[in-house]
Amino acid sequence: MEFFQHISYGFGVVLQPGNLVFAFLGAIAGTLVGVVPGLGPTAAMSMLLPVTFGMSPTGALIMLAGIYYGAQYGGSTTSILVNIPGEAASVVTCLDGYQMARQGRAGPALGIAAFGSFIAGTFGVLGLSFLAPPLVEAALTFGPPEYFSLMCLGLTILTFLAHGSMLKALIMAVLGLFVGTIGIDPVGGEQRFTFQRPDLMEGIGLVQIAMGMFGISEILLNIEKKIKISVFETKLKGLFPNLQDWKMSMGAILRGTGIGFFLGILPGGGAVISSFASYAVEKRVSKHPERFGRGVIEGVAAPESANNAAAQGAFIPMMTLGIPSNVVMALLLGALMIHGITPGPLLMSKHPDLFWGLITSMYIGNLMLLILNLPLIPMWVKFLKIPYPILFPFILLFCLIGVYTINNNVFDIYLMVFFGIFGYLVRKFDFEAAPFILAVVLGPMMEKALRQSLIMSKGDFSIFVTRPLSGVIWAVAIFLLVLPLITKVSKPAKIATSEERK
Amino acid sequence: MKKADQWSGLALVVLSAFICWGSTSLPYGNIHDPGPGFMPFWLGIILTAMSGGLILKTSRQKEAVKMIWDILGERVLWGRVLSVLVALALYSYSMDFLGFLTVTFLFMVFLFRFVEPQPWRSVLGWALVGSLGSYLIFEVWMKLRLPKGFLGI
Repeated sequence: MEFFQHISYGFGVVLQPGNLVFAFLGAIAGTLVGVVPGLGPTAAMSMLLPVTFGMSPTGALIMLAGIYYGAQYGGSTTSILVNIPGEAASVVTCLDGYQMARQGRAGPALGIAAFGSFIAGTFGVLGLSFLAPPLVEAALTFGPPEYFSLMCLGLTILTFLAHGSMLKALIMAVLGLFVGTIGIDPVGGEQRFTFQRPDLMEGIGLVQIAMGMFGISEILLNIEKKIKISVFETKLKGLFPNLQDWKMSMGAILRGTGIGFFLGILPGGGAVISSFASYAVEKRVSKHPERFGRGVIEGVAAPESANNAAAQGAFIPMMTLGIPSNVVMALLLGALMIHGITPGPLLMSKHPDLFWGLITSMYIGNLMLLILNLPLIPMWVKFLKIPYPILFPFILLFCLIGVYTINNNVFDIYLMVFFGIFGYLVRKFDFEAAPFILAVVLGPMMEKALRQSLIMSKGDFSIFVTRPLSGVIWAVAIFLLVLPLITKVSKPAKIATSEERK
Repeated sequence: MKKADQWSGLALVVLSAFICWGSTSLPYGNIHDPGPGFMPFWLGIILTAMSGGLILKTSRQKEAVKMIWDILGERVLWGRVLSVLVALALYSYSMDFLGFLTVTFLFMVFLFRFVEPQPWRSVLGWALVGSLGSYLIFEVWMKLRLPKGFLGI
């Protein structure tokens, strides 16, 4: 019964006109950035973060979350019509989605992507509301050692799932942890690596880094080559999949939802990896795996459902433990802290309006997206036709305004440009940005937990393995670290892509 | 030293040496009660080990790896990348002096005209839309405080 009480309370919050408008704005903005190539949810959320300063924390979070799952919807549109994923979680959708478009079935492909996302989003929200309360109770018993171990596990999983070399991903994570130490020491108040600059005393902000590494560097990578995007000219008709389509995709949608949700919960997991994993699973269970890659509807339904379910699942560790599992959650966490709210197990009891309002807003948001997305697809396609030389100065301008208005300080622009160049070089040398940014956020929390744990144990490191839960977490982390050394196990993402190349 | 990751590894070794050196000036504390220098110092050590490992691993690798000239010699339109960076630097440098509206207009004109040249008419049109539009949205509507500059706008 408690479940229904929570849910109805949540709906009471989200159905207030103001919050409804924020959910709507977030979903629209999200779809837009999902459609526009070269602008992902991370950059968009960082740009809009300053705009939310004047809002209520609940409204701000509802809008920012809307951008996240809205982008999952938008990303599928570009994958299907242009063969360019609007954002990383839609990479696999290109494989069969674009082929369907070429065969004149762009309509059903876009339709099943939208319906699949909606069904997955709905189950995701239900799962979230069932799982969150018991997890909160468990989290209340966690001490600093458990938190430290969990964060280490999160970083390990993220590096384990990295696309390229795991060593390089680990290097980025350690570098991120170091950048997290810049500023005033959280325990003793000492200045660290600030070069006596007052601007660096509070540390380097997440938004400056995220906008640099995902906004500026992306633009630099795009303009360094001549690119031409051609939208597949097809008459969009019959967006509603027919009965046969539904029959073929229902299983894929449900499996995708399950895989996506559980991979989303994992610290370090998320939308990208779950879309790859669900595609690989579909291919394995299919009676006609050879047709994958040539335009089968399951190949669109599964990853699109999985990435949406994962987007919901990722909220669980953030809302119950206060540990972000991916970069987007890290930004949401940053937004919460800017509004003076400490995320963690107490969030649910201290700010029930925010907790349940946010969860139910995702349900409303998914419904809005379904109603919005299908009829508006022709309009989104128009955005795709804006030439990049016209588009990128606007993206740059929004980055500049976004980063300046955080503190009204030009120094933040310098920082953003610095991290833009850093991100550009890093990607040229095939390092990854995601472990770095997540580590910057986790750094200060990890350091605090580590130092508290060592004070508790009087300098004895065995505290991390003698406490049962912490010990189990470490066992998993070490297993993942050692796995690539003993066997040449390819990673799930690689399985999916390498199979496609064959 | 022909492989790309030998160079990135080397840069990381230098950086980690700097981190270790910088953290020695901070109180290390002791293992029972670690001080502010504890975490950066050990991160520096770990980073040194890892980047050393990266250099060794890359040097031993026999199969095809990315070479440094693959990155430097790529057909990259360096002029475009540099002009965007210069524009960004000039923008942030002169923003307080020129004011948001003026500097944004000039910035957009530069990007539209010199990165991938558009006809002047559309350059001026888009630059006007961008600068005035963002001014109206952020300064007038959202009341975010943007720098006014010596012209007072």
